[in-house]
Amino acid sequence: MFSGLVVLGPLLVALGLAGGAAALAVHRRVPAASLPLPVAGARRRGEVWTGLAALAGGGTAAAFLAGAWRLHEERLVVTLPLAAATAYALVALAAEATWPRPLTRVRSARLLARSVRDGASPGLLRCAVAAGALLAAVCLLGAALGAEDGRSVEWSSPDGLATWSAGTFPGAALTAPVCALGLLAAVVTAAVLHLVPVRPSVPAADEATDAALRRVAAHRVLRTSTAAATLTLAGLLLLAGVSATGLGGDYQLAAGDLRTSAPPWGWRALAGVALWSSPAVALAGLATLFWPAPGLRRERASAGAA
Amino acid sequence: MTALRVLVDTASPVPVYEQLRRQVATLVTTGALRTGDRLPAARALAADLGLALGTVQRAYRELELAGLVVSRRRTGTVVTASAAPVDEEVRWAAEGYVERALQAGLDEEEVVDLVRDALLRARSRRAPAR
Repeated sequence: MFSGLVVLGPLLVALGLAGGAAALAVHRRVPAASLPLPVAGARRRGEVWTGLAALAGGGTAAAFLAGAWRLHEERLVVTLPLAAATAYALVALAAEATWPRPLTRVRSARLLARSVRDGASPGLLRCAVAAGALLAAVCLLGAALGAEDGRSVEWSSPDGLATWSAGTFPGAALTAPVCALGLLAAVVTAAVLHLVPVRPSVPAADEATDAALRRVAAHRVLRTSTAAATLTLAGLLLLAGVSATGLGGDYQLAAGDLRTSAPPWGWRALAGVALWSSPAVALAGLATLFWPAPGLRRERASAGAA
Repeated sequence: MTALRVLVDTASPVPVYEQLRRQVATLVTTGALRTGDRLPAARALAADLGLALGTVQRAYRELELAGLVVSRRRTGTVVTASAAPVDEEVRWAAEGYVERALQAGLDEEEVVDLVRDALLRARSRRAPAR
């Protein structure tokens, strides 16, 4: 029953959020007919590449899930969101790198200095940095507290006569691939964010429309990577919380004495926080994944067409 | 504020870097670009104009040699114009002339040709008789 809720709960929340985000996107969408032809073409190109990136991300996630199912390898499950986000970001990188350049005889450009901060929204950038820092901290803490096998956590009674072990715990064996993939996802995402401001402007698009198209591209890749980091963080917190709260208990000596040993209060509090914060962190990750991109607005589109 | 634009003709006999240099220099001299204004990164401008990066870098280098801009790693290329500001009345007269010439049906080349012609006449009038 509980395991069913663990699987179905996030799935239902994700479906609800996806439905809401799709409805909002359809409601806000400016019809292609009211956009200048090159702007509509640029938006379509962005959407096609986003579809390809989503396919790559989804395919990677499915491959990791199938591998985990077949090999009974929890590392594949833990690294699944970051692997999917890396695949997504790599396709986005290809999209930005192949953005069409002007080929006409006479060409014009705005003398406008653009930077990474113009593209990515400050709120989402802060979320990305926070998620990355928290994930790195949890990985380091897990690696430091985990047992030698890197997949479990141990507690020994003060007299050393009893030892409790619980897993799966995010020790070094699990957090090392998470850190490696997290770093890769961050590098590819940063590369996309740096390419967005220096890609060619869309001909016939005014300044605001061109900026909106760039913001959409930056937002999509940043929200995917941030969501992946947040969902991975939620998974690690859940594993750490479940395994760390199960340590300690009664043990009997040969003489028949019954003793009790449990980790200190601070340890249990930390485990409790990890366990109970993980659903909220997972929800935040799902909400980030469906955070609507600040696309073209109707008034902007009409200005662009003017 | 609407961003200023530069225009290049890839089929023109004037090299593209020179077209760029001239236009930016004109914008600085006329005060349209002021001290501290940032120019786009060479890479971004090259992408917008579909040019090789080296072409834009050459234009920026020439502008830097002329003391009109300065390029720094952190801030990018920034205008450091020390050119004397153009009198407002002269600017209005120029804008009025362009407006009138365009209304009369002249194209941009013809508008500039007329100015060149007027400059030649003015120069010959001012030259001391031999």
